[in-house]
Amino acid sequence: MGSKTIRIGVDVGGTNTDICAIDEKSGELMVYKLPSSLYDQSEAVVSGVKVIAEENGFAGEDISRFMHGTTVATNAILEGRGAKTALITTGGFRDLLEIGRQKRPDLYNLQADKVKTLVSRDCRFEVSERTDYKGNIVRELKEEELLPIVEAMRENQVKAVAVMLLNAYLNPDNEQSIKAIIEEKCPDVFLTISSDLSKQFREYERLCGTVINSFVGPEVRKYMNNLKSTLKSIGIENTYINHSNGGLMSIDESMKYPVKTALSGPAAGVVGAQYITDLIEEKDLITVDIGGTSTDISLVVNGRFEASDEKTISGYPVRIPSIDISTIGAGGGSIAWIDSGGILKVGPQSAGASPGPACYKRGGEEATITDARVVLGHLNNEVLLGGRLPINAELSKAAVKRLADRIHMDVMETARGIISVSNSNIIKEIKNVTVAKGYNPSEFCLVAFGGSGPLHAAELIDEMMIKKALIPKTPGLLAAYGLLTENMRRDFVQTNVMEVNDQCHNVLEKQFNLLEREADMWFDEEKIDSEKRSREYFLDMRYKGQNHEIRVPIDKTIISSADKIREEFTIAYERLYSFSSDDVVQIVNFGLSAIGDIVYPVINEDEYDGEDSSKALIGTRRVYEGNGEYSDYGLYDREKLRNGNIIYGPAIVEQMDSTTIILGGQKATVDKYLNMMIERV
Amino acid sequence: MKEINSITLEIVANSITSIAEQMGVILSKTGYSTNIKERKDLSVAVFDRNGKLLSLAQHIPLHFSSLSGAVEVLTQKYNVEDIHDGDIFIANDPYSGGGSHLPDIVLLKPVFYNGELVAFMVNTGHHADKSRKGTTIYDEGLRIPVVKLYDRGTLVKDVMDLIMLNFQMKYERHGDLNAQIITNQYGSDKLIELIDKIGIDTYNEFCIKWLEYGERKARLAIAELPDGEYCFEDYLDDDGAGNKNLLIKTKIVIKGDDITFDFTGTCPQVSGPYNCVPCALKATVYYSMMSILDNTIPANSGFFESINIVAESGSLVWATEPAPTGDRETTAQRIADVIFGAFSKMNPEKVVAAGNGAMSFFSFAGTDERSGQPYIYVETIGGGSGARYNKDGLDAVHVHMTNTSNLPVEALEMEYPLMVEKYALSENSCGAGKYRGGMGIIRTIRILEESKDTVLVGAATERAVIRPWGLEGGQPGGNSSIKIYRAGKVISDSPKPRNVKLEKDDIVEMVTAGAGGYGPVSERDPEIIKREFREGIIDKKWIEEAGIDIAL
Repeated sequence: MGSKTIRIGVDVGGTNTDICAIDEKSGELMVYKLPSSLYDQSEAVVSGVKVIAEENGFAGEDISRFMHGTTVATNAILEGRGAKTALITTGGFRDLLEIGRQKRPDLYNLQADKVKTLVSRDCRFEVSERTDYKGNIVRELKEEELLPIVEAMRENQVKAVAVMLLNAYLNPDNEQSIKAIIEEKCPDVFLTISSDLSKQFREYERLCGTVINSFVGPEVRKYMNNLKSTLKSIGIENTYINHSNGGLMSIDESMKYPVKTALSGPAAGVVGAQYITDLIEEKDLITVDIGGTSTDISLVVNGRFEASDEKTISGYPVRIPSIDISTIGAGGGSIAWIDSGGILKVGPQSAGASPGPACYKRGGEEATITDARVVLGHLNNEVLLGGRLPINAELSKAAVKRLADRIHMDVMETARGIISVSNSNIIKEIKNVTVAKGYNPSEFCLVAFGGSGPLHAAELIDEMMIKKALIPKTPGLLAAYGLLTENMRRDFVQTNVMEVNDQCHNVLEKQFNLLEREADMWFDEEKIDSEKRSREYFLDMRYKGQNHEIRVPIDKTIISSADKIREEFTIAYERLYSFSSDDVVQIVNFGLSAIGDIVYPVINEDEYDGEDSSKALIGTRRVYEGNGEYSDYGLYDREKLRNGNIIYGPAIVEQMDSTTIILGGQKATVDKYLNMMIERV
Repeated sequence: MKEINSITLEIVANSITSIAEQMGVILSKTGYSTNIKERKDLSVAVFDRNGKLLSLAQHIPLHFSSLSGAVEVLTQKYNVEDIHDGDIFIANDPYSGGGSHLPDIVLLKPVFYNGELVAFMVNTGHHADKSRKGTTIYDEGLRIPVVKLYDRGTLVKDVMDLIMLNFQMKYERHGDLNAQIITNQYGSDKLIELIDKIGIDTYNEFCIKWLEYGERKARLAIAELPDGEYCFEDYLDDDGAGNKNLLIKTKIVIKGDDITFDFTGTCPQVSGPYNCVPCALKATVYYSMMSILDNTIPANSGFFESINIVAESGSLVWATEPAPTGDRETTAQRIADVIFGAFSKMNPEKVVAAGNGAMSFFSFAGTDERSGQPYIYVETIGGGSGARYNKDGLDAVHVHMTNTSNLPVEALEMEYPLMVEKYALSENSCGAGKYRGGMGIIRTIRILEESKDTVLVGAATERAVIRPWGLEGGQPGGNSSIKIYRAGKVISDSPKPRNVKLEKDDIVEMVTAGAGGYGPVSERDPEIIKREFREGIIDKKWIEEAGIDIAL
């Protein structure tokens, strides 16, 4: 038996598989990065784990918990690659999957298409049952109707089935009956019934989630089963999978509800950002994760990330609890171009990793943001990635010059223009995200990560009058790091529309008790000790007559008071809409987040070293500042920076997987966790 | 920033677009009524000091009519010295307030920088209050010309009182107007912040250069179109007031980088609510140009003013007082069809075949016995969208001038004493072709016992008689219909029924039109035809009528 003190987080991205491990006793952090294996993600996962274990002298048996973020489900959805799926639904509604919300995808683009329908019409079957809005069955299910359906499914070689009946969120009986029959007749198909996945109303969204869960189910199950047995063979027992709401689930649960991992990709980074800022008492964050092709923006308010179940994946609304993350096409590889009217645009097209920016020498001819930064002197003009990626700065300059000539501008000013335009795209999105939630961005701390985040952070806070920006110690590995800090988590939500009034507390109590019972079953299943169980409560509420509700966290002690519930709603509503009314308030959904506490790892604290940062100074770099002027930026090695060190801008800080810019008039202070905080002097 | 180059132009444009987008978010957040908040029946725009559009954030293409119309009237009606910081104007009237129909109420706020007028913030929302119908605009509700609601920061209470008196759902109207005021204030604050940052000279120069840029891009795109005259005509079935086969005609004349849309020959205005005033016609032309030409051209006055529009005063598309305009969106749909048809004569690959061509809706009223309260359930239903030169048309969507979302069945049944029996594609409604047209929708509502004194207040669809045309040999799409069934028997099959009393278990069935196909059906992949037959999208009869000879 091993010592069982190593916790390991493995995050698979499109380009790299990132691994962070931490010794739970000593707090020592170990990191490793390798290219993702595209055919079978688990190859790179397992080989990476073996390398990091060997390099740091531990074995599989020493691993207490294995926390994994995977894009297997996401990729299957994005690529429309899933199992042959059938749908069984209420009579009259088999086309709902195609109709959706009857909106066209784009107002003006005649070539735009609706999302592909994942179940062909001949595999969408109807049964003549009906449940009404109160949950009463008004037409009984005729079980004999299922026999020809089962036959047809066999004929069509269906591998997965989704069952969604109208109003089943209130009464799952008919769905359960169908489940029993399918399980008996077709034990090998992957089956999802909507009421198992979601007990929320609005049939189209529940249907989409159910269908996608089945569609990707067989592939995810296969991946997870393989991974589980491979990990077991090297001694790793406790495997957890990251899901979209910033928590973990057991690998067995992930095989039942693979759709819950679909939006998990950028979630772990937000959790990581929240964790490290919590240690330094920063509670209100704008997280900006800038990679090679896209930028993910999210808010953390008062230490909690903002949740949403209205997210879509590849155009499908899946209604799964998720961290609210907004994505735009802006990253290091975003291409600059001149439009027909002569304006400089940047993105959303990206040169990606291949051919990549012009300077990568892989045949890319178009100027990207990375090329502009090479030209300006922000990036090393010989090698990137700590020496692993040799580049050719002349190719960057030639690419930018081609653009500059077309708009009759100087190369250097054009390079600056590329950066300004890309920042204005990111700023536009940050403003939309914050304004939509009723916040003023200048009161937040910006947390910049991903390979390119630290390059943009200083410029963004300068432009947006934000007070400070935090650059984590490992900006390129924050998602893998975030996995280490996640808890087990499952959200239980039940729609039950009712007015908030003096008589409602009995129902409230009853409804929350039901959710608690469900949560307890889950805790038991996952073998979570009773002292590690915690519960957070929330209500989705609205004014009667509205069709959109807002989520309000509720302290369970107030549920006996209608006035207090109303008050909580009013506060939340006013913040979002700067407006409230005396109208009747309705509860729409009851919610409980069940959290299985996984004790946070100890994080090493660096000893105070004083303000002097000169020992990390490794040279200077000439950077173009506009109007024909250059400045010498101090060049620092991030590895050599210690707790308390202060760098005064203008300066550039290099580390293996990222480069940070500090502008003139700004300073960066290193904290005891070796994060850097950039502020105005 | 000293002078505007192609980089600062993009950055300032981004900032102003961002202001318009944020205003759109604020309005949908602060709006009170379901229609504004949930269905996002709202739009927002930023105009420069001369009333030229700089940026537009809209959800409903038709809204552009009231936004631009109201600004135009405002700048004509008031001298600059009579417009003050803190003023807010309100308008809705199609004939004196730049509006296109009375429910769309526009709020306008002039923005001042150092005492100088620099811009107008404008927004509109559809105020779904008591609906009124009649043969003139006087029958359709309160008419508001462009008037001051706030004078130098002070509410003109008399005007507000007068307006409020005319609404049934006062609380909702008040909340929505408030939201519109907040939205403009927000935009105004953000614009002032922007000017603080870039300087007034840069801003002023931006306004000129940005419109030039819009016009330049538009003219470049127009110049690429072959010179010539392209004509098309089509009909509305009827106006619900007995006038049938309403002709709409256009002639598009392209010469160099100049384009003219001439609607001469369109039928005279009618006594039904289907009349379009000039700004509604213009909004429809602009929508069509944005879809057909190059959808990266910014929606600004530089672009729009490069387009000439001609029509006869007093015609259906250039209506004069007192023609009623309540349902003008249906006419706008047909105008878009006609414009697309005319462009198809030039290059059918630039357009799509005719779609469902309507704003199909039904409106039920009654008393919900469960709560004892009266209820009104209104919903619009999409249909087929036209086939394209390279692929099938979209099934079951809103086309052209509208794009609002449906009400989920589970939400509907919770709120109203109604049951949805069917919500499905209308089989065989797609026009045949190499690429088929999109499919219409069937939505069937049953009246439950708990609904008392139930009335189908109004319902309407179009293309019940004249089918949506195909292109390049593609065949027309299926018709629409509205039927009311009682005990299995049809008791009404009018496509525009009004005030029909309904009983328990009566069934109202809306079938919207499909869409026209593209190219000869003989070129359609037979495997796809077989699959669609197997899937029940089309039946034997459809295949026969389409003239397809295939072994199934």
